[in-house]
Amino acid sequence: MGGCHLIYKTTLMTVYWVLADINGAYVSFCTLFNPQLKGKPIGVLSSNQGNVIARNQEIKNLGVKMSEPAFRVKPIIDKNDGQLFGSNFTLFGDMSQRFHEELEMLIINSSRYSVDEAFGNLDTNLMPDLKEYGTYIQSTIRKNLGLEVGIGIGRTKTLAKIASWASKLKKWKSTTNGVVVLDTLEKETWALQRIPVIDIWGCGSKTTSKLDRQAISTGKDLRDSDLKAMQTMYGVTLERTILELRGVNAIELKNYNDPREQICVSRTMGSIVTDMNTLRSSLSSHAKEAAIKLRRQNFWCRTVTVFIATNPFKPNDPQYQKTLSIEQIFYWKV
Amino acid sequence: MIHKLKTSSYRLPLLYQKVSAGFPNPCSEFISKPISLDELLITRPSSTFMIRVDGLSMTPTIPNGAILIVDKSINATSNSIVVAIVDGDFIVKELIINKDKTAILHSHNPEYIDIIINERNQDTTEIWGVVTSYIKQL
Repeated sequence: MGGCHLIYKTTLMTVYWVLADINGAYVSFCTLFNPQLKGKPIGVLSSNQGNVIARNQEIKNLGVKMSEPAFRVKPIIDKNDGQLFGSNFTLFGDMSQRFHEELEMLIINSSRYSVDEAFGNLDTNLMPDLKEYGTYIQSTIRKNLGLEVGIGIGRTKTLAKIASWASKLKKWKSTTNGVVVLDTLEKETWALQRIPVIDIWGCGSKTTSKLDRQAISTGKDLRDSDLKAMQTMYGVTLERTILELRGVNAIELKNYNDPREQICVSRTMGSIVTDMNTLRSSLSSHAKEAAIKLRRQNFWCRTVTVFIATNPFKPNDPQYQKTLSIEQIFYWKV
Repeated sequence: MIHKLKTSSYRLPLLYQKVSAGFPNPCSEFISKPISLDELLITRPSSTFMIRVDGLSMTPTIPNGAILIVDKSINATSNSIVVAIVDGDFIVKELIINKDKTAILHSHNPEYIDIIINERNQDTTEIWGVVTSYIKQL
């Protein structure tokens, strides 16, 4: 590990990364205009009304899981006086736009990372007290838009993401108030010791289980691992993540408004499918929908992937899943 | 009912002459620079919401059916016309803050009673935003 500690050392830096993200964005957008629902269990359904895609704390407390099918959740909601909303993308888009416009007035180089997340910079020459400024961002968004945001601040985007992760944790909420600043090596190490690898930005489930077999389970384990060896074994993506954990900026941001790199059409079947013909016809209609989306954006593609899976919510039934991809050297226009 | 903001580019000149009675002179030389209704009514788009009034509690100040322009970023002071949430409902009232720091949500229509904010209901009452203007189509 020789020499690594030199990189860790926080030098006299003044520019930090900040990540602001809306807590339970879709649910908050819906409750903002329905104040009578405050404190009641609320969920937002996917665009085909099939599954729960967003939940507030109250619905989580009732044991409703992410992407649980609507028909299973409906009776629970009715019994507890809550409400399920459809996906109103006009409303979501409008509120997201407002959120980003507000942040563009509050932070430097604000970048629209997703519907409910914005990255940007804070400079301690201009805002000497990062915690205070983070709290100011939070209260401004609360006042101007009626939305609760979490604020994570760190030396790199990955560390800001980890700070944001910490800001969401209920058990620390009373201390953090939803604003976490990792501005010393001690604080970074404290957070990294507690974050499981799976929750780190850029670590997928495959990488995580491989890392776990190497006894790398926390952010600190990952940061202190052998960079060269990790690069050889996992590639440049993980190497960049490790560098970011050490305070070196290595990941470039992509604007979420940029052309998409993948188009996905997937649906939960309305009822249990047992014959090949039904499956085939629904696959072909999904493929058609994906092709329409691709053509609408005037794009080409190189890979087509088809996947099917049995209902994961019926763990007692036999389970099956399969993914097949065809990749071409040339781009297709479907 | 809450409306989404949509910008437009209409810019119409404003006649300086005030209309008290009769008709303005269409050939008036005193015509201002073109103004946009967006710019006139909406100074801060990201925190501005439009809400349609349903009810008579603020007549004659605000007629039924008017569209309120509400800016959430403005701090309400005494005599601000505000959109508030009381017991889960949106209402529009005049906020009056007394010297002893107690507050009243005052209806301009004398047939409606005022809402006094006290220890009992202050936790369920929220000032949602400040009304900066309203639009009423005739």
